[in-house]
Amino acid sequence: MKNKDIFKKLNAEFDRITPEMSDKVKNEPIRVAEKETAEERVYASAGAGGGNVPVYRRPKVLIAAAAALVVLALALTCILIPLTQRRTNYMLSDSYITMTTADAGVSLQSNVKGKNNLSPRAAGGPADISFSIVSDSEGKVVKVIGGNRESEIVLAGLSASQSISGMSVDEAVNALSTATGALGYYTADRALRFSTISARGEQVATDIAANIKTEAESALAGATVVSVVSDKAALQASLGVTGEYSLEELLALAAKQEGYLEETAHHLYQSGGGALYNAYLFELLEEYIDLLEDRQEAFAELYEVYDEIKGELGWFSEEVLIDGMLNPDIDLDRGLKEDFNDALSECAETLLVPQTDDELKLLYRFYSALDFDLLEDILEKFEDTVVKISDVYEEIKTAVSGLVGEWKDMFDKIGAEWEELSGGVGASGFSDPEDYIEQMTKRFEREFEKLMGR
Amino acid sequence: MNKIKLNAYAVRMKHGDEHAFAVIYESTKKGVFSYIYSITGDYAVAEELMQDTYVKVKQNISSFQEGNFSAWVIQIARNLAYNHVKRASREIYTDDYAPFERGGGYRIDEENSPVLTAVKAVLREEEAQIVILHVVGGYKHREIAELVKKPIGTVTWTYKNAIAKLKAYLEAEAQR
Repeated sequence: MKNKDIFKKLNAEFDRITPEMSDKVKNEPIRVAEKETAEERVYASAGAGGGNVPVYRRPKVLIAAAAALVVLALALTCILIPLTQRRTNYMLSDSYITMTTADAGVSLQSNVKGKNNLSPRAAGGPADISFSIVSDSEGKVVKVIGGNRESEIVLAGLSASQSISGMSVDEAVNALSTATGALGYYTADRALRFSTISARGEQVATDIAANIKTEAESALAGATVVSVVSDKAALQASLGVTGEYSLEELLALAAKQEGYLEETAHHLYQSGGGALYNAYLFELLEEYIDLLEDRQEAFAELYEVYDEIKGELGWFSEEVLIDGMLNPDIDLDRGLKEDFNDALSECAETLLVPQTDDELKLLYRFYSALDFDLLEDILEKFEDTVVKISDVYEEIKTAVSGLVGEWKDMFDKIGAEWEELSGGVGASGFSDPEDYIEQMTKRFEREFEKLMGR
Repeated sequence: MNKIKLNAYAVRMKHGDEHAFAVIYESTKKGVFSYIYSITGDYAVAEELMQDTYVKVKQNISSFQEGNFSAWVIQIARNLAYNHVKRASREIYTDDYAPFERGGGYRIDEENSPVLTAVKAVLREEEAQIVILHVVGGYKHREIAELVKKPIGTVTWTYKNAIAKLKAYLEAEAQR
């Protein structure tokens, strides 16, 4: 008996016996608050989970934050290291590609949609996603920027299983499209929109745009994909910069854009909202833990069916999984095929699909051994550290702003004292305060030795 | 219904939207009832406490801050269920009024509820709660760990163990 069957039956049994709403409940009025408070307590990721508890209380996990930071570090490294190598004709930020979801039927204008140009969808629909992909002139991804919260979640999940930086643009588009579909951010009434601009000219951009379209359509079968070539004016508009810029300069600026998470973090820290940033980060991390849990279950389910198939076919029979799909050449009972494909879909929803039998066995062993206690410990430590960093940061900010004032007073005082001691000559000749202090110290030592009779 | 939508309905309910409450009730009733049942073991008591839970939700919705609404509701259910169990264990009965066993006089129809019967037969209370919260309520292990105040690893391990026990029992029953 499969786990899935047990779960279905248990749910069906409770469906049958769960009572309907009683008159007592129907007649109870909803007690609305008399006065809405002017300042509602808002978490940065309202409505996506988390809890109505103080931000530091719940245990969190480090891995997703570490994964996001690793991606950032890798992206920075990928930008900085190549810059030090003088490769002929090599450009770090050669092409800029945006990927968004949009209503199907929107006119096919060549435009670049920056991360601030998204409008929230009507309630009930999936949120829009927005990615910006920067690639070098060798077609390798240098950086992927998440334009909003949902995009950051997709990136965090993807980054844990594979590094997007360094992939070819086609591979990155495939991975992002697959993940977007698997997480439900793309639906059949929407279109996936891409826009491309390249420093190497319109023809290159057109070729890239065509490849992207093919890749996205392959990743999301039946999807409506629009892939257009953008222009310099649109890129400049989306970056919000005015003045004369060359295309290369604009592409370099585009590559320096911050992702939604970075931007939120900087903004919140600058405004003293370290706590809000922490809450936002912790919710993202919690969602990542949920993803790991879903993966553990999905792989257990898939392996169970795989086991059954192998039992029927014999363990030395042909491969069950080929390129992430059920081998079409094996002869199986229809029910078993459906079970396997259902289980595979469950894995896809967790953004990870094994491609071969060996990969399935490996991933199943890995995820079934996942130690959630350890993750929880790490998350608690991370939480404590982030809280301490946040507190220390605030302390340093306060101390530095205090110190600047104190140092100025001290230099003014030393200057006045020197003026007095030197008979009004003043501190001219000592433009460097350190030099002045050194001379004063030597003078003091001489005076002291005189006092000691040396 | 996913958490985001549920939270959106909760916000509407805060403004007095009865339709939003009706949607919330339909989406969460099975999880709430099954969890209370796993604590009390009595259908009639679970039904009563479930209705009390939703009365409390209506009375206290203004105190709900944005966050995990379903976790908030299940916490109310848990508090009510355990308060009832504590009160019931302190009651003294005369000979004329023999206490029902934990499991109550109102029993689930066992023939038509084989899995639930198996849950009651083979699982410890804690195991039953974790299985029901996850399988029926749809709560993540992390959320369950917070609710039952146990480490997440313990919850995960207990869950896996419980499923294995259930499976073995049901397979043995099927052989008979």
